[in-house]
Amino acid sequence: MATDPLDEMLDCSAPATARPEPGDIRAMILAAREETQPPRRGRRRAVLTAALALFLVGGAGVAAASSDWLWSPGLEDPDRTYSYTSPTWGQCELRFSALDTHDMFTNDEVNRIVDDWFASTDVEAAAAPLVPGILHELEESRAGDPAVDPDPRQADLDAWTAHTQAVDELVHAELAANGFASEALGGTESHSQVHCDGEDWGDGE
Amino acid sequence: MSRDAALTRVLEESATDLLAYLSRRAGPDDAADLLGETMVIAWRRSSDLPDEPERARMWVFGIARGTLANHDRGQRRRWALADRLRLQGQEHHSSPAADEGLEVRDAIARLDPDLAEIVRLVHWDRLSLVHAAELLGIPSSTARGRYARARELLRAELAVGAAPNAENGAGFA
Repeated sequence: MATDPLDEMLDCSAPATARPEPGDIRAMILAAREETQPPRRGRRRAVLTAALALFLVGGAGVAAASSDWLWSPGLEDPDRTYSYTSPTWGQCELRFSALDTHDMFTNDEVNRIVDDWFASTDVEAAAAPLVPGILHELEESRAGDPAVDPDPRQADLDAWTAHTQAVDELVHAELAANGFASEALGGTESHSQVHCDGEDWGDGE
Repeated sequence: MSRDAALTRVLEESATDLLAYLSRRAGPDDAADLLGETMVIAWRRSSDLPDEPERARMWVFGIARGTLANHDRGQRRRWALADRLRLQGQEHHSSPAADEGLEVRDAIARLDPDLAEIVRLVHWDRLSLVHAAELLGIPSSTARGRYARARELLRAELAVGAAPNAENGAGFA
């Protein structure tokens, strides 16, 4: 059948449009999903903040020798890294360990999903929309609490917490999107570590 | 497949077309934000996601149309993540070139808005008339009538000869 020239003209009149990168689309989908799940976020954040506080004590000893920085076991391989700029500590690198699900049937699959996500995603861009909200929650949690002493490191510690939590939430969203909801990952363990160019962990280090 | 996985898939598969749809109506700068908003609403309503893939695709297009309506009412939200899409929009474009079809676009823009939109949905967004009608929330017969009227006007405006066969056009399936 002969083509109607009008159809051809109309088809060709479509304005040019952008072709987004798949990784950016994926990140946007995950960030959008996180927007809809505030209750879960709050619960996990409390747990994570406690874990970070413990790590801060344990990790302080190696923080002084920044030029000879050692990554803790499981973090030597920089496949799961994330960079951000801290308020006073400058450029920081976060590394995330493999997850240990304590289940031989799921462990490889869970870590493959996370590895694929880190490899295909602009993680910094994906986390960016989440960080301000987490920082706001951290500040609010301290506001009006007379027991909280002012800490000169607070802004940098908050940045550390917020960026770590943002990535953690995105990873869990990716796992959930692939069939591993939080309920299926009960008891799963992992850890992360930060190193900043100008980090200052305070007295005694 | 879980509901989350199904929604992730339909958003991934539709995102480029959704961005084009939004960009052609709200402009490239706002389109990225509107795409983000569309995704948030889709997640919020994920329990309504249809099982059938084509129905699911039209479902997210319907949400995108709603975000456009809110945008027209002045509601807007900026997404930091959308900055990357905005930047990409300046670097990579699908064909055709921006100045191609200017005369045709002007002719479409001069149509009654209801007629213009049906033409854009069929020829720019590649929807069938049935799907275009569904997206607009009008009966298929109304969509067919608008489309035929729009073609008649455009043919005269652009001085294009009659079709070799019947005035059929695209997308009556």
